[in-house]
Formats: sequence, C-alpha cells, structure tokens
Amino acid sequence: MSEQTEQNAQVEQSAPQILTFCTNDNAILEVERDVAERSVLIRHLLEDLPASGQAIPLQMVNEAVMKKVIEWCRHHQKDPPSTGDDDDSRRKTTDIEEWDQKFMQVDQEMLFEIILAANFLDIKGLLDVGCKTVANMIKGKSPEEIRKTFNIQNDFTPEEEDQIRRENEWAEDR
Amino acid sequence: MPRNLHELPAELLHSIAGFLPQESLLSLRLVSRRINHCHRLRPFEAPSPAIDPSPDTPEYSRLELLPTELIWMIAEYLPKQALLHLRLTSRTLEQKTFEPTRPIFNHHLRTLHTNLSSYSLTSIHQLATNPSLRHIPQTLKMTPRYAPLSPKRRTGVHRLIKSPTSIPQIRTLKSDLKHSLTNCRNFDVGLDWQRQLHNHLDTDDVLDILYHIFTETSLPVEELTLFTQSYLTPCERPMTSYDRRRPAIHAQPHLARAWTNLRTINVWHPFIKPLTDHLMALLPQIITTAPRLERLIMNGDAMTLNLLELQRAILTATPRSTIRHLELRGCQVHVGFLRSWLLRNGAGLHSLVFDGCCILEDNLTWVSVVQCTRKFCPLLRSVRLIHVSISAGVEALRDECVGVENLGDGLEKLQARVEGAYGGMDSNW
Repeated sequence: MSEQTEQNAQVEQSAPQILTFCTNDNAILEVERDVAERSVLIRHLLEDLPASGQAIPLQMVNEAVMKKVIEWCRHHQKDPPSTGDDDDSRRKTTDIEEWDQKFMQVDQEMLFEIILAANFLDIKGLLDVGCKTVANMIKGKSPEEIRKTFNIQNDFTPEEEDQIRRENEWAEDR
Repeated sequence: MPRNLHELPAELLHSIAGFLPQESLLSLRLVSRRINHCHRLRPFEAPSPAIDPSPDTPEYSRLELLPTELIWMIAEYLPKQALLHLRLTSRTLEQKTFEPTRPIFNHHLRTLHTNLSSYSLTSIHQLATNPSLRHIPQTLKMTPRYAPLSPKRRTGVHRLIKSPTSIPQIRTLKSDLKHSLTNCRNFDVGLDWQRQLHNHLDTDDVLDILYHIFTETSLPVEELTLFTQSYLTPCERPMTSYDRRRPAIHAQPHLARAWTNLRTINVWHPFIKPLTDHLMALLPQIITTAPRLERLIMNGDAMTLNLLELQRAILTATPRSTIRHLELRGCQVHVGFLRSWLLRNGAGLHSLVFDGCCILEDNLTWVSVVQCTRKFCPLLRSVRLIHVSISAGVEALRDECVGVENLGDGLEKLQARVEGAYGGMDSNW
C-alpha cells in the first residue's frame, strides 16, 4: 500500500507541468498546470486520473473562448483560492476590478461563451466577473432597453405584460 | 461524458434528427424540454410542415439561453428594480427569474393593505386570482380613511355602512379571503374614536365589515390586531353630527361566530378615551366568547391612563379559552388586576412579558409580580421583564427567566435578582 502511495507521489512529481487541451473545434492548447488548475473541474480531473500526457478534451469550449479563459486564469493565477459557497443572501456588489473590466470588453457572443465556459470549468472568479458584467448591462435600464441591449424579443401578449407589470407594482415600496 | 440523449450537444442532436422520420422527430421533441428547446433554437430539418420552423418561431437571445442557475447568479447582483425590469422583458426570462423574485414578493405581499377604496380592493382581487402569488399574503391591514368623505364617496360608503356585503368589492373580498387568499388569516385594523357620524366611516363600520366577512364565510381568523390609526387628526373633526342610530359592533348578534378561530388579540395604542371606551365594550366580549384565544397583547405608551381602564376591562373578563401568553408593553401595570387575573387564569399560562412597563401601585414592586407568577402559574415556561421601571421610571431593569428546566428555581433566582435591583427594600405582598 505504501509502495503504491510512493509510486503515485513519484508520478505526481514527474507529472508534466504543461497540460494539453483539445477544444471542441479540435484546437490543441498548451497551458501551465498552475494556470489550468484555477478550474476546479480540471483540478479534480487531474487528481482523479493519472497523468497520461494525452490532450484533455473540452467538449463544451471552443478555441477562442478557451484562450480567453486561459488569459483570465493566467492573470489571476496568484489569487487566493475561492472560499467556496457564499451564503450571503444580500445583494452583492457589482464592482469589477479594472483589468477584469477591460478583459470583459468583448462582444456579447463571447461574453456569454465565457460565462458558460467558466460555469462548465468551475472557475468561480471568472463566473462572478461574467455575471457582474451582465448585471451591470441590465442595471438602470427599462425593460425595453434591456430587450434592445440583449436582442430579446418581447413575446408577451398584452394581457400577460399587463399582468407582470401589475405584479411588479405590488413589489414596489409604498 | 453525456450518458443520456438529452445531454448530447445540440449539434449531435441535429445530426441524429437528420436520420429520423417525421413521427420519430415529433417523439424526440417530446423527450425532454432541452431537446425541444434545441429544436426551437435551431429547428431540426424535417420534411413535415408540422415541425417545420414557422416564421414566427421565437429567436432567443443569448441571455435567455443561459441555464436558469446562471440567470439566478446574475440576479444576485441585481437590485430589486432591475430584477423586476428583467422579468418584464420576455416569457423565458420571467420564468427563469421566478425564484430570485420570490423574496421580493414575499416581503411586499406578506401584508396586504387596503383603505377600503375600490382601487385597493380591486388590486387585492387581482392578487387573489394570481396562482403564483396568492399564497403569500398572511395579513390584511385595513387602514380606512376616517376623514370626512367627498359627496361622491359618501354614497358608496353609506351603502357600505348599511350592508357591507351589498358592495360588490366587499363581496369579492369575502370570497377571495375564503377561497384564494387562504393563508391570509391575520387582520390588522386601524381604529378611530368617533362613532356614528353621518359623513364618516367609523370604527364600528369597519369592524362591521370585518364581522360580516368573518361570520358569513366562517373565516378562521387567527390574529386580530386593533391599533389607533391616528390620534391627532380626529381632534379636528366635528364633535357632533347626525346620529345614524345603528347598533355598535359589540351589540351584534352572533358576534362569537366571528372569533371562532381567533388565537391572538393585539391592541396597540388606544390613546383616546372614546376609543378606549369603545374597546372596553368590544374586547371583553371577544375574550369571553373566543373559544381558541391563546395570546393577549396590549401595547400602550405608559403615560396614558386610558390603557389602565382597558387593562381592567380585559383582565377582569373571564376568558372562554385558556390563555397561554400575556404581554403588556408600554403601560402602567395594575398589580391588583394582574394578581387577580393570574389567580383565575394563571394555571394555563406559558409565558408572560412586561416590556417598558411600570407598576401603578406605590406600595408594590416587580417582586410582587414575580411572587404571583411563582404562586399561580405552574406551567409557566418564560417570564421576561424588559426595561421595566423600578423607581419612578428612572431606573430600568432587564431580566428574564426563559426556558429554565426547573422553573421554580429559575423564578426564585429571578425574584432574588429583582429584589437586588430594589436594594433589599421590603416588597413582599
């Protein structure tokens, strides 16, 4: 048993510090292990599976998005790990640090792909930044402005819209 | 790796769909919401018009296509108003923001307000017809406008006074409370002091409306809170007016039917003498007839003597039920009335609260109160003395005896601490 543990430790030590990923559009990307381990999914994957040196397939992410994700992970490589679930039920602040703001200056297609990728790869920090960015795009806008911003089609019937409006009125401070 | 069909990426589903006949395609769409959703996002190529993408097939925005849990995460960063605006944008987002908006609606709709105006009653009816929200309200707070009525409103109000349930909105309210707003069983009623004025709605009228609602629908009212709506504005009113000569609510026959399920009665700030007189007639009747009443709560402002009279009326009434909780706040406690009440009703009492109170009798102290509880209340589980004044309202004492296993010992210690607060003054009674 102890022999096995020793072997595992040796494998761990000799494990490549560069990981290879294969995106869903068949691009091969090489990433430093420390950077890739910002993703909880990848960290668990590496813990559970012995290092084979083969490319890790990422079915849910394409090359362009993965490059952005890697860029974010590399910048935040030294950040302390996430403490896990926030049980704070209060509304959270949408402040975003400057670098992240610039990082998120992408088209909406890319923004939502980054959010989905962050969710899939379990990168809480990136997911938070993505959600905050979308929240900031929603805040202060009327329903019509939100529709315009996100290209949402108003599919309510007039009666349904009236009903929702009325419900919203009930939720207003009196 | 995907293990089920619905976990396959949309592209693969489209490839599979390309090999399927029309019937199978329709079946495939019925497999799960996600597969159906994939179809709607990028319709499977199919020869049948039945599943051909119709020209009005909705196009979803990227925001709408986010999984619900991600919409919830975004919602955590949104202020209330933005969240409400978001749910107004489309059906999909309205559905996906259902959970995050629940706390907002719970907060705002737990208590419904009405001033008995047509607008507010209609609004309550609209809520009652909303299947996703109508379970939220727990309390109906009635704050009628007791001010003089405009000629236009006067006609309606006179009809209301004559026969409350002849007014369609009141009839609807009655039905809604019985059939739709089924969790709304607490009623807060703002009271006024003047009675039987021709041009005013008065306390009797409002209680009369409630009485009709309670008795005619056998509504299981659980908590009734009577509070003074205002004690400044009534002074500006005319003191005399046309006498409508209608029996007051406490003279109504079958009054007891209205309180069949009443558990709590809560009286707030009956500052004004005529209102206190009114309540002195009504409250003992409720207390002596309500078969399930458990909690008696009185809130005053410690300075008014009106509450003392009311206290006497309440504490000398013999409850039909076993009172489990007695709470006096902001009032002068007449230890004589209290002792007498505890002697008669203390056997079933579980909790006793005095908050911001002082003792009326000069020769008695809180030690006497604790002595009474030790003597007459064998089932008592908690006694709280919160900011009770021990010397002419200057010094205040905060002590309590809650959840003590051996209550006898707990009360003994409480008595010793209270005696200590009086500096060993002889206060036995």
